[in-house]
Amino acid sequence: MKQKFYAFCASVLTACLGGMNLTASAYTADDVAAKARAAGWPETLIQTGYNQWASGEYTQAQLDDAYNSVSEYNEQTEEFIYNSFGIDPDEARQQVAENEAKKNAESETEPQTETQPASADTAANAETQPETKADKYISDSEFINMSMEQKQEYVSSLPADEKTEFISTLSQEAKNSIIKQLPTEEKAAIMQKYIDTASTMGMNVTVDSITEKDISVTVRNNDGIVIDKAEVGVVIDETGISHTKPLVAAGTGLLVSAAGFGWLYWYIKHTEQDS
Amino acid sequence: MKIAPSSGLEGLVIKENQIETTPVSEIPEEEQKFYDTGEIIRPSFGEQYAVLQCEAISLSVPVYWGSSAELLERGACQASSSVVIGEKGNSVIDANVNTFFADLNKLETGDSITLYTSYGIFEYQVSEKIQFLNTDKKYVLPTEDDRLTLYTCEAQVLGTSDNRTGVTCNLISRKFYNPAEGEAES
Repeated sequence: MKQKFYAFCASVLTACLGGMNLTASAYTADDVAAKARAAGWPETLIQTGYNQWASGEYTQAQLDDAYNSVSEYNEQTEEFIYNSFGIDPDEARQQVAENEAKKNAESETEPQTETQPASADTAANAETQPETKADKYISDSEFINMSMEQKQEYVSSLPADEKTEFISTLSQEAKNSIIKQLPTEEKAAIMQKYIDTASTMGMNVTVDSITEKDISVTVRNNDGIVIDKAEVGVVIDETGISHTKPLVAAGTGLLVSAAGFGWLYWYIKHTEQDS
Repeated sequence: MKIAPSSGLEGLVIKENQIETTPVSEIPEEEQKFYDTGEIIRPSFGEQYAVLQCEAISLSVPVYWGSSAELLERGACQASSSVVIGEKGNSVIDANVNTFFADLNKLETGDSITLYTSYGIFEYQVSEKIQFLNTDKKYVLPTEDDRLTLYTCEAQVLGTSDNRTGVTCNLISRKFYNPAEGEAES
């Protein structure tokens, strides 16, 4: 598992360092924004990306890079999430695609209901309506508040054919809760990919502090102006005297470049051992 | 509008805006031209884009978009991961328990809260008093319904608390100053 993980990271890093115009396409800013929204990127960053793109300083190649980078970010986080629950990511993607195709086919062949008179069959039909997600599974909110072990236990308890359905239909917040509970190596890889992807959208991400519970980042545009601050972790913003002990003093932000993945991983591991 | 670079977080630009806070009831009837939907002016990080007022606890506090130590010293801060006031969903605002939100725990169900922005007036009513651990994100997550969530640290004599206290509020009315395309006056 670890070998596969490192091989994957190496390929991602190579793509980052070697330029990422993997496919020659003509993506628009709207395409990139839609992809980023699907990945759960905050609207603040997407709007900043729009402003940068609208300024006319971006080339088509840069837009394509941004699109590909966001796609890779999606795939990487998805892979880590599925692997956490013992689900093969490729098989899961295939199953999701098949389910979507089946749903689309069913909706196309549904009879027109407006012209059909109400009948005694209607009540019977109502009783055989397919179960909704809420009927079958626990809520996203309950899932979010579980520990990783509890999450894994819950997913393991599901029938084989429902595991993928449950994971693939989680809200972005629920998926984020899994990411935050991933092992350090995987969290660092995702963090690095997040930083690299933001950079393709014209933003610079600095890691301000790393604690056991969260990573605090500041996002700045190319002019150095702060456009967002985010706590990538489990602790809700405090309003009062800070009682966390950041391992890096605020104000000495660490700029982690595409070449910094190894460093970031080493730093997180090193500081976890020290604390 | 005043713009000033922050002396703390590098690159933080703090913008203060003059925002009209005349209650709707005090606006002459002939001047009351509002719309149910309208254009939202998205703020930048560090920009004061609203004023929060609550008569029940004599509160009037500027609201900044984004959160940082410097901004919390100036007013209430809205989580940039929550929706902008007037957008569909959960707008989440917090402030220091030692200063601006010292009396937040005195709010009761039914109390009214008004948010004034440069693009409209938004009125809420407290629906629930809440208390949660700092690791429980239940109240700060996106929602389908339109609501306002206010919270602060639980007050403690020594040190800080892991508990957060606050209120959730239902949206009662939206009054935009300018219409969305095709929208009639409300």
